[in-house]
Amino acid sequence: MNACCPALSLATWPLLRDNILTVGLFSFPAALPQMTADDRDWRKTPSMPLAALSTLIKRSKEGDEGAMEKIYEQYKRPLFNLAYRYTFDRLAAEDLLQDIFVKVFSHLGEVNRDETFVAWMYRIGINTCYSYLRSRRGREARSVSLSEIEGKKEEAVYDGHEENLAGPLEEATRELPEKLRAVFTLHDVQGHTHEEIGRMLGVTVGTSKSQLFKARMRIRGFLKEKKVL
Amino acid sequence: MKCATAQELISDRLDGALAPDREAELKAHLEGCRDCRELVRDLASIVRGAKDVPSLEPSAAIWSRIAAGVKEAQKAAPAAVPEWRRGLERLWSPAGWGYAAAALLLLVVGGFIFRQVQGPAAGKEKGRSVEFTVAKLQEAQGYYEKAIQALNDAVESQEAGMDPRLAEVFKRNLAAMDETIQACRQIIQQDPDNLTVRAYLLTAYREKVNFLEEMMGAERSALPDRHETTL
Repeated sequence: MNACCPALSLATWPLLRDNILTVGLFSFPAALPQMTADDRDWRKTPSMPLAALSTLIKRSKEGDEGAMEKIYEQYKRPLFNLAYRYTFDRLAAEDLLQDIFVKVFSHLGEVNRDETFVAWMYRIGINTCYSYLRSRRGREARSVSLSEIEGKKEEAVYDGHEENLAGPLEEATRELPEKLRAVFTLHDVQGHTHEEIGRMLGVTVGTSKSQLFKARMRIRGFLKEKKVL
Repeated sequence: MKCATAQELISDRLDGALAPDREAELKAHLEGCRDCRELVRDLASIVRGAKDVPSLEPSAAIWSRIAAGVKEAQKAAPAAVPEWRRGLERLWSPAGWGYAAAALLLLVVGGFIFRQVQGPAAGKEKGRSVEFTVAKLQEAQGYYEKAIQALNDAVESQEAGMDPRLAEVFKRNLAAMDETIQACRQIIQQDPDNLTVRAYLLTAYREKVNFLEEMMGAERSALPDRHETTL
């Protein structure tokens, strides 16, 4: 189970899982696969035991650049993908990734318990993304895009029966409010559990579940409107 | 069961987080509700689709930018040990003459004790860490010495026209700071790896920079009453 989730596979894993029950007493009327977080994005990154992470954190606190680079290599992809879902601009996402890790390594002294490091790092990442969105909204409020002036704002057109929903889903995600976007990206795209998301966002498990439900319903509404579903 | 309740259970069911008794209730509802069955199908498609969202890789050049950014951040905050800073900040408070004498004594005694504690038996790992920290502290020390030199020149050029009462307080404060700096430097000469005293030295330098800067500002404002409280 944990082999799929590097950030989740710390020694505290029994505390971190809330999605592992796979109860299948009967078949649902519609095709409804039961999905756990383990099936998702994390399988693309190898796991790191807490002891190894602790060593890297300790060495990084002492200024060891090699250790910092190893931490970066371990977590760069999920944080970059998170940043991308807030910018939808590769260069801007790379700038955010840089900001996130500079903040992480400059404030490592604040990490007193290594098992909280991953959630702490994600919180920095999410807050950095929120700041980016707020500053971008400020810029956009002061300017009007050329396409809007010309009345040529492009709208994507989808085949009503697309096999792969990835493209429309990206667009639907872009329309989500920032907190719903965070929960949907962290849970459904990256495979974090509600407990982990709660720690990252500073919310309860119930709030995380409720926001995920709202996010999915909004996405459904968007995809219905686009006749993708 | 109402549809609103069923909808939330469907979301939980997709994540495999639905208790068996609730599953039975949901099943009963779904058998008689076409809208909710449609919702099941749609949400399952969304969750499956989210798995297929491509995972992107940042470009390889990012790490070098991060490493440079971390170095910059470290330079911008040379006194990175708040306890040491707090201790030295108390030294230069408005009622700081008594503190100054006490702190100076503590510094000399503390330096001696640290020299005894930090024996030559430290391991290689600790040695590397100390080397790194000493290098950083020396770098910051150089910065402060340059800043103090520049400020000293500026203050000296204004000293002739300074209010005599202000000039007296200025000289007394400066002498106390120089005494602390001198004591730190003597300890460091004998024990270059004593990080605590190096940090004290940096903080003393920083306080001197702040003091000289304030003096420049105070002299420009020409308000002797404010000078007293600033000091």
